[in-house]
Amino acid sequence: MKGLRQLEAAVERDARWLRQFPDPVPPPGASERLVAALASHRRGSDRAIERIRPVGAIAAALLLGVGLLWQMPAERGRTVRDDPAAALRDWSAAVDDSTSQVDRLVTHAWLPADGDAEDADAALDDAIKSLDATLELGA
Amino acid sequence: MHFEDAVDEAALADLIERARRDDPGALAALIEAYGRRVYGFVYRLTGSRDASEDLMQTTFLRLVRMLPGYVHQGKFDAWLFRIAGNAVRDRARAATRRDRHFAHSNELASANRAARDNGDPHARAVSAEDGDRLQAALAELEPADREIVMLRHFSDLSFREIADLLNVPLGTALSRAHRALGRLRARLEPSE
Repeated sequence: MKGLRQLEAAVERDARWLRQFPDPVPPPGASERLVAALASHRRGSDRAIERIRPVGAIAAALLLGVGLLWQMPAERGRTVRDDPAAALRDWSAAVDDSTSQVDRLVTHAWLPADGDAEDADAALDDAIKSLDATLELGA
Repeated sequence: MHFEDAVDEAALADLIERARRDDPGALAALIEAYGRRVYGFVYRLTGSRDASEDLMQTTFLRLVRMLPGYVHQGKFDAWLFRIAGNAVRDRARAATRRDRHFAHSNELASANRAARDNGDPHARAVSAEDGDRLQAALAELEPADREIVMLRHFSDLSFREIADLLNVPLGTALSRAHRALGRLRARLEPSE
């Protein structure tokens, strides 16, 4: 410890020796240019904040939406947050059901070419309602 | 502290608080108080006048950006010179990536040209020459050694604080400074 203090005192003495040399001086006008650069930076920041304010509002709304979806119970009352794997399985099951409904929808939608148009329209309406119901169940 | 532009602690705390509230006068006063020292520090590390003005700007721009998160506990010098040192290192790294010779481009006369603009012509010539010789000698040091010596010269920091700043033991900081100063004296004193 004593050695360290002695070394520190010696180095401090040596460091003072450097003061005999002139220190570099910034070029003329450097401080003024720096002040101007800082002012410009501040103005740029203010403008950037103004520009991103609407984007920020949209992003906040999206985040809120995602948050609500995250909280929304899936089929059988499970949420993604509670059990992501189970929620994924529920969703897959809902998609399987939906696929069969889509098949029905496509079948009826193509029927008018061969059959009665009014019956086909009614069947198409039924198919769409059925599909809607399935999709709502899976949401 | 041997710099006449230094401000006392109370005035500095006030300046920092006002600068935090985006008071342009406070920022100008901080530049007035620290600009020359930051410039001197980065110049002595890089040896380039143009790079030094850029680095001075970079340092103060980073300071302004980081000021809202800065908690003043009497260590403004440590914070400011850390920003300046990091700016120098970032620039050197970028220059290395570009495979350019950046550090010590030996623009030796340039920084001291400004010094020659003031005072007695003979004294100006002698002192500018001394500054150039010191810069040439500094260029031969290890960058880490050079940084320690220049931190002690331009900042208010003790060697203990410098060791903390650079995350090295005090003994390491002292031995590096001792070695560096010894080399500088050996290089510069015989011709005096």
